[in-house]
Amino acid sequence: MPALMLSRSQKNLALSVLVLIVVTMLGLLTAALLLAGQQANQLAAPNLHGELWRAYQTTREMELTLKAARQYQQGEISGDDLVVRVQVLRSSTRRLQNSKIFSALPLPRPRADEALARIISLSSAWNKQAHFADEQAAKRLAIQINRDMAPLIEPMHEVMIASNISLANKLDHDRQLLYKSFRYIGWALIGLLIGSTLLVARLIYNYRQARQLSNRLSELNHTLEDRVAMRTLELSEEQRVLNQILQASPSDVAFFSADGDEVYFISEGLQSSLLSPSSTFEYAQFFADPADAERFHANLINDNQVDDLEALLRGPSAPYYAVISGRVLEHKGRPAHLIWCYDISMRKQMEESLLALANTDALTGLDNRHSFWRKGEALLHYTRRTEQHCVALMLDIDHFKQINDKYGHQAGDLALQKVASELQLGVRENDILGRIGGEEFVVLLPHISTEQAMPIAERLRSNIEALHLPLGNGQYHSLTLSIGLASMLTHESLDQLLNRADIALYEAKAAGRNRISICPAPALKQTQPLPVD
Amino acid sequence: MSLQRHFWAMMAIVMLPALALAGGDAYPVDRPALVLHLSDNQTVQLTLQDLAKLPKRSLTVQDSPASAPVEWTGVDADALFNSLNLQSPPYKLLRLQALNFYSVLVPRSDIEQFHPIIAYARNGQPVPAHKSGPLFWIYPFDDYPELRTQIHFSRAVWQLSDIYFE
Repeated sequence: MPALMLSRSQKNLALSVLVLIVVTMLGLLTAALLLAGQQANQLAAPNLHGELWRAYQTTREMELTLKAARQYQQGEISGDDLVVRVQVLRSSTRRLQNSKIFSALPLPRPRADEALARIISLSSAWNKQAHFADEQAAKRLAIQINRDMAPLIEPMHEVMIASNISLANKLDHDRQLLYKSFRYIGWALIGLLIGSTLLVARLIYNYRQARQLSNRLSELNHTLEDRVAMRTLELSEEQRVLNQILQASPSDVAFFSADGDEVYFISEGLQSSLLSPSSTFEYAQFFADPADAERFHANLINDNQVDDLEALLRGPSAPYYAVISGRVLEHKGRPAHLIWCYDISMRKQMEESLLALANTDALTGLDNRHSFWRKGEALLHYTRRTEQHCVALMLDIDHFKQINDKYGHQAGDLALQKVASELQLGVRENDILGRIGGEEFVVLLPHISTEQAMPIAERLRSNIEALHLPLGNGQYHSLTLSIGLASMLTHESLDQLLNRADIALYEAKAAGRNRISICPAPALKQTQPLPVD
Repeated sequence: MSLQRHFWAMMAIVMLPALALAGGDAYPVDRPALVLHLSDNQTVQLTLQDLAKLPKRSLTVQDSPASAPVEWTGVDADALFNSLNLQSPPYKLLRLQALNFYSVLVPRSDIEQFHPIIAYARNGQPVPAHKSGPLFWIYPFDDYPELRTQIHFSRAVWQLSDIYFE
């Protein structure tokens, strides 16, 4: 219950009030104890309020002494007896002497004072004159007593009244004192009662609060445990969902410590191919090329991230191309690497087929003019550098236009395909064969002289001559090939070489077709005599 | 409320130094000071001399913690009665009477239980009649704290002159 929770200042105030109560109670208690002790001390000794009794006794003794004096004068008692009476009277008045018999009188009573003073002084004087076994003294005494005592008897009544009033007042004063003391002690006890009640209430309150607090604490503990359990469940659920997402992702993901000694997550796709049974991750195992592995790792360490690196990865069965990205993160208090890769082998394949498509003649599958030219340039460059021979053949199907016109384009296409495959079969592995025009083909033969090239050219020509083109109606059409041959000269470009081969081809055509014509040395060198074979 | 506070009043008086100037004679040692009235109307008169011949017994009494202790010397009442062969007529009460005709009743149990004395000297000195002497009935207040109540204060008679056996 928060309402029960007191603020700090309220608590301080409550504490101050309690301390004040305790101090006040202690003060009250001390004062009450002192008062009680004082009263007890007073009550330990008996009260000395004997004033009235003393006044009575003196009066009585006066009467007895007077009587004794008269008896002595009549011879009824001895002189010693009178002396004893005088002494007894004196012992009685002594007690009135200096005693504050009228101290509590509200108003002074002079007649009483006067009578008292007179009897004290008389008895004192008589006592001094009284001697045992002295008849003369006794006689004198008896006369004096007879003379002086009788008029004092009546005023003694006034002394009695005064001492009675004084005593009554004194007793009442004592009563009032006692009453006040008891009242004070009573209030002190009430104060103690209230203070004790407050303290007990405070104790009960504290106890209840402590119990509530402990209850709340244990409740909190339970709640906390529940929440921890729930949170743990939530976290594991989140982990599961995350794993699901990662597993479902088209990217393959691996998350592992920077050292690779602990793998936190790895996609199924990567799992089978990469992970050794020891559950470690090694870049060298991941990349097909160790150089790629080093490059990726170095970049990741330097920049903390690598984006879209294309590299060949070791696949489960065969290497494949992938785009790989990586990040350096922190997990479980140590650096970790997150890498994800996307399989781009399909794209690579498409790229390759596009490239092939761009370099190939669609009809025959041979290199097209562009592709042939690129390869040819490279070959020529290589041949020139190694100072080797190279021969170019320019080939053209004889009377191809007639086939087209006579049997249609389909037959023409078929003829081109047949010729192309025959030529492909006829050339060597390293030779470059291309279709550079409608029915025109070209072959570059490296590492070969004119003499060595001739049988090849002849083989190609005869192969085509032997070829019969099926026309679909059971008939066949024969084909022939004219070939121009040119051997590469030093510093000659591909263009020049093919030009010369082309010239030779025209010669072959002009000479009647289905034959091979060799281009002689270039025109500027024709002035020199040809070496005789 | 009892007004009889002889004993304490006497204590106060005796200690007043102003009384030293008093000129009264001491009580004659050969004059009867104590009369015992036996139950069969017999009386026994005792002078201070007679009492002085009997075995002495002293009691020390301190009135309050502040005052000086007082030593009373006299005869043990019980011993006195025994020496006079007063035990045969069994008495229940003693009536003690003073020269001023103050009187008080004392049960026999007081004598048997507390052994009060009849004192004739205070701090070794006899006390004249005008100073509340010559005889005092004194209880051993210091030995029996339960005696310090008004009952026994009023029984401690000064100027003791007569003892009636009843």
